[in-house]
Amino acid sequence: MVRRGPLEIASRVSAAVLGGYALTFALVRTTAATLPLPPVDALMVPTLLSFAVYVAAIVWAMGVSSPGRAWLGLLGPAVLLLALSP
Amino acid sequence: MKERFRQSMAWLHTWGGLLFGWLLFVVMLTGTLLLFRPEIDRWMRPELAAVSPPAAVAATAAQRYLERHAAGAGGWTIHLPSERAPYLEVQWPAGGTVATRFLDPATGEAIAVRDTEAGDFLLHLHFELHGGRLGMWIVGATGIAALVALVSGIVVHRRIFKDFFTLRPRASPHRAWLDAHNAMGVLTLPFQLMIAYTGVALFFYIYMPAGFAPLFGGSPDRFFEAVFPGPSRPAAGEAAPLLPLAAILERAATFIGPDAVDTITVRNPGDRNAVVGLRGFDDELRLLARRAALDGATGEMLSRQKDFPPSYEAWGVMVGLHFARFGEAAVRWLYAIGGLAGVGMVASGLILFAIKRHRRSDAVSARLVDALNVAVVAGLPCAVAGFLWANRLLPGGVPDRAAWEIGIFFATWLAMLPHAAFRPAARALVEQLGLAAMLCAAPPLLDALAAGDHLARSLRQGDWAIPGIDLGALAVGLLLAGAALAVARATAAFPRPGASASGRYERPVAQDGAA
Repeated sequence: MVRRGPLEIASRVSAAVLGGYALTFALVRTTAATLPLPPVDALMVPTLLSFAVYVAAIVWAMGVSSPGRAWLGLLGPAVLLLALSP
Repeated sequence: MKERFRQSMAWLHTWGGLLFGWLLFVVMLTGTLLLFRPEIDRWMRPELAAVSPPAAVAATAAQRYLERHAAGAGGWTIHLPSERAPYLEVQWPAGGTVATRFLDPATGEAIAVRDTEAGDFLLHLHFELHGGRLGMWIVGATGIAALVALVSGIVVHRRIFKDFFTLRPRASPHRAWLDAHNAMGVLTLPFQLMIAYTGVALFFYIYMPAGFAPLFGGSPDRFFEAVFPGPSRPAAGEAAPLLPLAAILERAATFIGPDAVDTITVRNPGDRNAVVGLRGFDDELRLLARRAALDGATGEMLSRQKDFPPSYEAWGVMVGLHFARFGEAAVRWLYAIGGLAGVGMVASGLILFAIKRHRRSDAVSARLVDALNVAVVAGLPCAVAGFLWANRLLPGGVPDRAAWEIGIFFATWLAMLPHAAFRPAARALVEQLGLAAMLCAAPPLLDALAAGDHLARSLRQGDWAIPGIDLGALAVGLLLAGAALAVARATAAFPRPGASASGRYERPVAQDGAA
């Protein structure tokens, strides 16, 4: 078992839960805005897949070597996606 | 690197599983019960005899009743008798709540039915913990946690195929619980993944509203208007008689057969702009109704719809998979097996945590985990049984009777907590499982011995809803008794050396092996 301090755990879990949700949210928003489909489909396709993305983000953040990396790896792309979003 | 990832996943599985395990148990157990919701509803309203009139007859009776008793209401909802819900139910908004009546389609009069929320209560416990929007978010998080636990569980469980059928009930309790946990999880893994994912996706518009802003001005309502482009006509303020609903059913018959109609809604009844909505489910995997809207005054077809955008159809399939309405009883029983395996997986996981983490600890946190484990795993079945008892024993005339039933449910559940906290954990588990077994077996006996004639009447009519639930409760009682015996035997076989008062599911510390 990897020993971890409580602060590290709190940071990592917040990164996974909040950062993971932020990334998923940004991904869905940007994809929905750009998919060349009728609006209902453009919304539903990324939304229905989003929960798998969220789960993957949580698992990734919990497994990565440090909480800093988890935060960076999730919030970085999230900000980038929102900046690119039309 | 790989090993470190596996350890991270073990940590995630252990602590995530503990934190959400209790909630997951509640959601999964109530979900399993809800497979039989129409039957539970009928058991809890035994006054309702099964009827199967033609749709036109039932609609006419409902209209006559509603025109007399709910003429001023803004809308009516009529649930026509169906195979699994063979009774006529009407509803209308009345002073902030919804008035509900059950009608005799032959006489058109209301039937005196005991006041109960029946399966509705279990449904609200299932998807929102009886706690409104906050409860919904908690259940959503629980669904995501279930998916995370399943994924991390797969990573942790290295020898997933090798261990497929490993069960060592005579090994140490720890091994036995672990094997049971793995067997139930692995054998039903696709079902567990499916049911958790579809459960979360059901409420996509609440849990992941990211796409509404760029496409629908941030409004889920506008999204649903795009999916269902039906008429939205406000009341004209001019009176006009509503056509007979039987005639309206006839008008729509080429699109939706009268006997396929499940629900009739009337918006602004008695107004010139009244709209009658018909809804019926086809026998298919997707759970999306075909629907028609007709002018209530002229009978003109305003809109009809049976096809939806393809991605919305995909969602309909997810809903259909979650609700298991696409097949006959065999499908429900398969789902029940999957649900019970899930319940068992979560329960054994919780107990495993207690065994592994707190073997030698008498810390407060250990006692808390033990107490919550017992009060949830064995306490919830007691509470559900208490709910059924309350339904049979509370007199019909009690004010707020339905609320009393729910109160008794929660009181029974709460009462389990101090018992679980002050008894040694393994003893508490055995005792509460035993109590649950007795409580489950009792309502059927009450039905057979004391209650009115509804059991005899059902049997006479060959109607299995009430005796079916009676037998089901008996079977669950036997299952719980078996579980109590198994736990009692397992813990007795491994007396703890120098046992302290804590009495957890001990085994000799020397047998400690890697998990």
